[in-house]
Amino acid sequence: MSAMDCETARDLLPSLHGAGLSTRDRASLEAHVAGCDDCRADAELIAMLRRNPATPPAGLFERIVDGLPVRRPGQRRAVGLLALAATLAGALVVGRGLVQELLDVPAAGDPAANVEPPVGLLQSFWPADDGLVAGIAPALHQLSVDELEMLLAELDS
Amino acid sequence: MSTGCEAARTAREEAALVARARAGDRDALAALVSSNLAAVYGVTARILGDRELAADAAQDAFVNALGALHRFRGEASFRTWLLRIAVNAARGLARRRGRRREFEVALEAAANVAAEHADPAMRVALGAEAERVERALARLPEKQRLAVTLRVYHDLSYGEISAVVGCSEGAARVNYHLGIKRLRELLR
Repeated sequence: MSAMDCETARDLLPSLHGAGLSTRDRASLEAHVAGCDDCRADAELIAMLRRNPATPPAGLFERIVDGLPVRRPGQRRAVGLLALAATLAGALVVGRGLVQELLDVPAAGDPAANVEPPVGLLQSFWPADDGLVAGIAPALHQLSVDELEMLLAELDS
Repeated sequence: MSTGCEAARTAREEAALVARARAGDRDALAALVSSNLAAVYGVTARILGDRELAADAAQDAFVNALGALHRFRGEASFRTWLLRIAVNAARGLARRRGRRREFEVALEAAANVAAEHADPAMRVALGAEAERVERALARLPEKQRLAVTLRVYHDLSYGEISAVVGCSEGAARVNYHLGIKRLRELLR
């Protein structure tokens, strides 16, 4: 068994009173402490500290457990499904708008049907620099159906 | 610091408890509170120095952590994650309430330690020792006090302490050793 140095001993001293040290490390540490006044003083200090913990007041455990919010099993899943539904609804709205833009067909009943779309709106819509719509500012009316489907899939992902 | 097998077993048990608690199992939630209450209160008490505020901060920490279990991704241990939340809760409360009251925890600790002994002379001696310890700890800078508390009382590694306190692992080690050195001067 190799002799333990002070630096290693001081790092391990807090574990001396617990169950976490291996048998070999414990034996080395105890041997070192027995022969080293400085590390023994640290060990005695740590023992004194451990005799005096900050003890939780009586009743705190019950107070905390009683105060925890009651959650029904599946509640989070329901919230997640609602969020997913909202996201899909939003995607449908955006997708429908894009298709109308591409086909240059005004939405039925759209009061703005006869208004020219603002110049540059689509060009400023794509900040990403990867994927189908990357690189050049896309001109959606130039994309094929396959490319448009890829674009919608990218928006949905 | 735990041996490898023990640490692995503890991690597996903890993961199982967290999974049950996520599913809304009240017994698992209570078990997570029970197994971590001493550490959480220990940290909030050492930061705040006031038993009532420390209890409030501990409760806030558990409510916040257990209400946000879906955000716990298991990158650190549950205890480390929870203690980080406890440190934030205590620091937030300290900021809102102003300066920490240094000796309430000392008096409480002295009373608790002394009350456990039947011998009146021992009760007096241990009560005085507990008060000295708390007064000395209260004089350390917060990061040293937390490093000593987490290492000595709760056996956290320097890596875990760094995650809880919000510093590098090297800084956690230095803070621990500086704290021990200063406590030796204060308590000799």
